[in-house]
Amino acid sequence: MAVILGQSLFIPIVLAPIAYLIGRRAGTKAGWFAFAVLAYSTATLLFAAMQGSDYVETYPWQPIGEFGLKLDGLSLPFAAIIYILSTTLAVYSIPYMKRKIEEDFHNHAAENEQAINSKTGLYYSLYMLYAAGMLGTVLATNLIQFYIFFELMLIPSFFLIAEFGYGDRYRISMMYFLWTHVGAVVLLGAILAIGFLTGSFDFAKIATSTLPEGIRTWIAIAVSLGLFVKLAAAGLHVWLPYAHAEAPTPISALLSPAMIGIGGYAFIRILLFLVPSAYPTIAFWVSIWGLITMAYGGMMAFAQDDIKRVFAYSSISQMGYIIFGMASAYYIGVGGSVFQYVSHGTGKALLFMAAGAIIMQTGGLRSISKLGGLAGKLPITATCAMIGFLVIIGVPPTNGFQSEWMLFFGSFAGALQSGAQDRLIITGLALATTPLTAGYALWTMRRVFFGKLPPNLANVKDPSAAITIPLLFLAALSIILGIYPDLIVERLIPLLSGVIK
Amino acid sequence: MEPLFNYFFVSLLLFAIGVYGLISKRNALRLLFAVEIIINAATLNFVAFSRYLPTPSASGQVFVVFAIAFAAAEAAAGLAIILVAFRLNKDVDIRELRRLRG
Amino acid sequence: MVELAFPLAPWLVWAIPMFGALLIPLYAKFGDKARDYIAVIFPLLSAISAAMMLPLALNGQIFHQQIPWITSLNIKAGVLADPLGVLMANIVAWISFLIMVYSIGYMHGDTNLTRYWFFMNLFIGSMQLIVLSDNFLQLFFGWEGVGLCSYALIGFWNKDKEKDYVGTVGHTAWGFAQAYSPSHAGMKAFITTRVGDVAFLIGILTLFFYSGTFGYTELAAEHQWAVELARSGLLIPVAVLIFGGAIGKSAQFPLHEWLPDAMAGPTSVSALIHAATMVKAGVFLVARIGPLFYVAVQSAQLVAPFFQTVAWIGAITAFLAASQALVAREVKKVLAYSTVSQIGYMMLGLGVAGLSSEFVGGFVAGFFHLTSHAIFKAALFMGAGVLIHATETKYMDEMGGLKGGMKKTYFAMLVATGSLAGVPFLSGFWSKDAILASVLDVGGIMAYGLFGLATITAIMTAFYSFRMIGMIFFGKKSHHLQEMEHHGHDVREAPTVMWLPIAILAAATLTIGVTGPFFEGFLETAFAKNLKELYGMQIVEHGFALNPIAISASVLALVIGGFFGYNYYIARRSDPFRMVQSNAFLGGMHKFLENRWYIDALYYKIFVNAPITASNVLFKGLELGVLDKTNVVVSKGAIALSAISNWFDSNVVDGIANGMATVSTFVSGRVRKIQTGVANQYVFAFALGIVFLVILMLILL
Repeated sequence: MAVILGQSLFIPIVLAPIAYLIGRRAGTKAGWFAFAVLAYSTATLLFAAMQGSDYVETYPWQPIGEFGLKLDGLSLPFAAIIYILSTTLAVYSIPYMKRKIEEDFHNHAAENEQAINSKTGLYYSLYMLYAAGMLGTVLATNLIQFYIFFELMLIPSFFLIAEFGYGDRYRISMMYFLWTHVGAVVLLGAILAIGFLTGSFDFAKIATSTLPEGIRTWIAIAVSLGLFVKLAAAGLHVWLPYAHAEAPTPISALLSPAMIGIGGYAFIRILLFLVPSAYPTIAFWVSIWGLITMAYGGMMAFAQDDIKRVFAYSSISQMGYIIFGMASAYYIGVGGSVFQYVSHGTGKALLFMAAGAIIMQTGGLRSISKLGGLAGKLPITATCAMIGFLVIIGVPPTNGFQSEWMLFFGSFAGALQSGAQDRLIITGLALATTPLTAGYALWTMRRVFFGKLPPNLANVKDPSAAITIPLLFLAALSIILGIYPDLIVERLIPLLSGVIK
Repeated sequence: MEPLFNYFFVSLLLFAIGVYGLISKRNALRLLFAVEIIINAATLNFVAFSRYLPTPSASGQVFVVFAIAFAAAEAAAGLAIILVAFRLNKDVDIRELRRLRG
Repeated sequence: MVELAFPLAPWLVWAIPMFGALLIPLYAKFGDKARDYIAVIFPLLSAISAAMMLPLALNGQIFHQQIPWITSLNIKAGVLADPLGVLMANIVAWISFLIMVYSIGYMHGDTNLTRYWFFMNLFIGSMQLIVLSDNFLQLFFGWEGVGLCSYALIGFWNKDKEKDYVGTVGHTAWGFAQAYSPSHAGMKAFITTRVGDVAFLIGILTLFFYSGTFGYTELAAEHQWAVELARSGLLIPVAVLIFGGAIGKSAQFPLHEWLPDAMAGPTSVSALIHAATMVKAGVFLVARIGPLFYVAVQSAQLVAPFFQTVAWIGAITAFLAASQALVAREVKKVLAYSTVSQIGYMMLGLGVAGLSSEFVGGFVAGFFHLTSHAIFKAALFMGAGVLIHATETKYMDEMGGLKGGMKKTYFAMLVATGSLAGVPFLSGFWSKDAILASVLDVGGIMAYGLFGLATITAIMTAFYSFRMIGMIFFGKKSHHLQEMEHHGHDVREAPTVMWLPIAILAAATLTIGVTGPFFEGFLETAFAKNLKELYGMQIVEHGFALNPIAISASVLALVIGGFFGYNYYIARRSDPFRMVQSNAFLGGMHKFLENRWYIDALYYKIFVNAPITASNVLFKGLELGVLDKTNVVVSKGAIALSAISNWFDSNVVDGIANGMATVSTFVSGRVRKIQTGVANQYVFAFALGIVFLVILMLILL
């Protein structure tokens, strides 16, 4: 069995300490090293994807079961986005983190060169671990393996926020860690219950057995609660605005688009593939929760002044879309949810990257009331931000539209199929909240990029190529996927239609 | 023959004198004498008991010869230590040589 | 389905402009002039491709071609070149081309022209995508594409300088400012049309669920979906929801407030997007779905409510908008309200088509008016642009007496305005009359109500048309103009590149006017074949016929409205301004109409201020007040818990460990006193021990 997925997962992990060492000597070269490693890993991942059908590698791992890496229609979109975003943002990090770390040393760059280099190396090694951790969760074929990687992606991100973030970063990173960890522990409870009731932790074996009646609902609730902390559903979302706003921007661009959606992946994998008997009992409540999250996140986004917080609340709202789609009990709806993860991935990454570009070029300004008229000075950033907003709003030809229509259609279809009036109404309400997204998105676009330019920003110009090229790449990707969505859904839809009736 | 007890009584007496000396004498040399006396008491015992065995043997007397030799060596060592101690402390009063204590 | 002489034509019509848009960064490098001319070539090529499809329309044939698109969901992309599509494509293509040529002159000197050409070309491509798509999903791509371009082009002058604002700065209604910056206006347009688009999306998604397809030909061929929709009671809701998209895009009531404010954009944009093409997209959509729903159900009664909705919304909008045009000060606003009003007529036509036993009459009337209006409204907007450039003002009351100095513009605009007002033997006369006639054909109380509204609107249309011409071209030169000339800026006629397109369109309107009956007959033949072949409708054509009531009504309306308009504004026999000031009722009416029936202010109150206030309240109250506090309380609780645990650890656990150490030290401290270091005492202890042992032995033995 060729070790291809194993490479894409373990090479970043193994080479992370080397990134640190390179950083200590050569500073930002570590960034290019990280990029090269991640690019290679992405290439191996995509190579595995092109093998046609599902690609599986397994290694024995007694007594827990087997340690497997599986790339099927469901995990492919997640894995692809995680790694593509990580690779792109590695390049983006290079100028951004250089500036940020130097700022942290209050610009005494010359004296502290060694310390700056060490920190830079530390950043990139943590970054590689983080990326690999995220990948591990979606490739896992064993619940314990999944849980291990789930926690594994938490720890590097905790350190990244604590060491490299803004504002009250120690307290905020601690809050982020605790919230997510509590969620993970609840999830662990459910995982252990599933494992003991079905006799195994391996996905393949669980799927063929059933859970006893009474405990089914509790397991579904526990899984939902645990994962919804990660997904930042309304009520459990309190940590997200802080973490995303105060994390260093490249990490925000990974936290929000790539990481929190893994909650969605796990939800679909566990509740639809492994223990489908538990799903119908909670689907209705989950859809209501999704609706509330959509509306709440959107409304909160209106009330923000900090541009990164707008995007953080926007992410909560978009996760609401994903939650809503997952509850549709129809294969196109769930497929739309997965696609929404992809769209939100590219779109929100674009937006956070644009925010980071603004922060860098204006010398640290994040407050919308102090910005304005930047379209003339930052044309490339403005264009990519516009495309990012269009993805979020769901306008063709971006992938945001494809994902939105699929998930709403799925919800409609599920409602019509089951003949439930109330589900139809909920779907109608959900669609009616989409103009909220258009509202805050265009309003933010207008307040930041159009209108009058404040006099102190007269010298701002577009950032360097290391920032604009990743922006343009993701913008192009969003449009390509918008016109040709088959790249993502080709294997996903048949897989889901087999699992969900 | 005389009863064994006579000899035993003498050695016991000697032993008691030796112990008394160890307990009450200050001078380190006198302690050495006391130790010699105790050794003699023990050797006397050995001789007496070996004679009064069911099959009298000479092993007791052989042992005494050994013991005397050891006693001599030990006395020499002891004297050497006391000599050095005297050189260092100008005193052989063991009540004053009490630094090895708890 | 038929073979085309040039099979790629339907694809090229929309692909070429999009391609041209994408290439802009490249040819912009060749210099400004080259860029401008190259940018205009793409619409020309697109128009030529459209023209190549005309033979199809003339013969009433249909060309349909599909390619695979989203294979996992079995959705195909494709083009449908039926007479409706071909004719619409040509109208869009040629008018777009003329406006692009006009833009070269109008936008000359602007520093952001690259962005302008990009969005104009992208717009034309998206619009043609709407027209030539063969399924709703693909149409939606074009639909949102034009929305996006509209947003970008309305907000083109995004530095929001005060001179670019639409409306009069300082004018408020109910406390809401009635002047909008370009970026605000763009946002307003996008969000308002988005509401319509959401409804549209719900409609077509439901349709997709019941029929399994988005394509028109599939939907027209197999009617099971309609039967099931009717059975679930969803037929009318779905149709109305899809119409919702048309309401948004065509600025009909209640989603009409964005169009007047879209005038913040450059006039060429207003001409193209907000007069000639994008706003017609809604009408086009109704033209597509109307026959579909009409023919899909066995009984026309089932679908009647949908067509009634279309007709009434059209009529109400026509009336509403015309009333606002009566008092508008800006020339572009008059034209904007007029557009909304005239589109209302088109919707009316298409609506009554579905209510009559023969569909084709109203259908032809609606489409004829679409063609007519596109031509004369584009000419009017372009003329307005020339005027605004020449007089350096957007207000009609700051113009005046321009008849002598701008003869070409005057003449062209006169013809176009006449067409708008319904002057006989101009195209607008025939098309408006056709609509009125088809309304009457339906018969019944409702039809008379619609007819009444339409006729009153026609009176108002005539009035404001005459008013516009009068205020701009007749009378004395305004104070503003006199000032201008004093400073040496004379009012000059437009350059050729700008007045030639206007003249061409004016000539077109005249030509169609003169050949009116023949044109209408031709449309009827073409559409009859279209409806028969594509939708399977049974059509009986009855050629061109005049309805005497309709004709007399429209002529009467022209006379009444024209009389007052002429009186006040051309012959200047009375002063309307003083009339309004002195009379309280008229004054009140004027204010009411000027403030747009307060609908705009109402929308801002309900849909803008309320959500933002609610969001802020919710944010401060719930998020900061409750959740953050909970977060803090929980974390403080956790810290307190860990403090307790810390106390326990430091004091109790450590206490035990330390305590044991203390005790042992104490004991050992006492015990070690035994070691005195005095040998005698050790020996004594020895001896004691031996004695003790001996006694023990004696006792035991």
